[in-house]
Amino acid sequence: MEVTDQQILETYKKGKQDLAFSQLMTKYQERIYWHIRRMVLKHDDANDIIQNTFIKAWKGLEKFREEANLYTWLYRIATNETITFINQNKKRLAQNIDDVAEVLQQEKTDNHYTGEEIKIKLQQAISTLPEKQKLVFNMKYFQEMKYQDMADILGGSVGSLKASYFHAVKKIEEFLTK
Amino acid sequence: MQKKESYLQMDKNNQHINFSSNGSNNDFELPKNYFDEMQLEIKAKIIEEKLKALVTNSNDFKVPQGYFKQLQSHIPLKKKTPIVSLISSRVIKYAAAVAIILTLGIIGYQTYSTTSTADEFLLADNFATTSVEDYFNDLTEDQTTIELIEYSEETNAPVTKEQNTTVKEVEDIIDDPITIDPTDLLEIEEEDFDIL
Repeated sequence: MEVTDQQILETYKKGKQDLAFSQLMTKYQERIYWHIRRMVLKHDDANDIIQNTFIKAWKGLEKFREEANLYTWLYRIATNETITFINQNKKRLAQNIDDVAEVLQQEKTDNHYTGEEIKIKLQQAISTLPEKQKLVFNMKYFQEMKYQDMADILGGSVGSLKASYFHAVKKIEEFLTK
Repeated sequence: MQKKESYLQMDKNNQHINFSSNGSNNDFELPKNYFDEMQLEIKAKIIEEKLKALVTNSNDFKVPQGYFKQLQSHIPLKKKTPIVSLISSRVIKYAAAVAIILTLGIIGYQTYSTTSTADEFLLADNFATTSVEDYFNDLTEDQTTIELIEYSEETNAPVTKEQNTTVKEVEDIIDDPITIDPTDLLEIEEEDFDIL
């Protein structure tokens, strides 16, 4: 049975920090990884970011306020780390649709991606979106996250997120059908 | 939506319908901008369904085998060691206060003692006659000559070299009152003004 966030925090408070952290990672590492990976596409980059994310979480767990949700707190750290990484590596990362195709072809060669042509086209379409719409689209379309959870992670209102998602799917539809 | 509202307004004006313009004739409350957001959500959902029919949202990204099992071991976690202060902050405060007082005390003492020594030194009565005598006698012939030549060059005074200065002569020099001609002072002031 999966441990609850409350149990993880209680374990941490009892002084069993290593165990608590291990439980936290086991519970969330995959979800957090895919959240990051969809933003940066490359496994190596996602690996760097997830490590930084959990190091930050380890350092911040002591000060974690229980009013917040452990799940949204972790997602927020991961999102911030991803955006920071993207900004720091703008020149190196895939910036346009050609770069995206190239990166995904390379990932295919490394057996890190198995998507067909249409999936690559979808990733190219996503790459044309502004940063926030890209995040919202990935979280809603692939992770099927609730708007309220997205608002807790990204900030802003549910209404603005709904608008962002609407604009994102509309642009992607236009890109794929043109 | 706007059309519906205008119909409602028309009916209200004609007193056909007895409820407010937003159509709520009950006590239920709706979230702000509910209908606008609902429209957006439905439109997005329709496009999303079309997209999913075209491109599934399945995950085609892969990770190396056993990646998630090993991920935790790759994260360098440092054990948090609690920092325990050996001395309480209260003790540190007192120690700092004592240190400041001591420092001020030492500085004050040194200043006072230096001033006292200087004052004492300046008193003519404390001049040991033998010290002055010793000083003149200790001077080598060359040193005395050089100093006298330098002095004569600066003052244009005639120099007579007397090697065996007696105690009496030295005492006479010390006791001799200095007389200053007021005209000399006037000349000095005029020179100062010229410089300025």
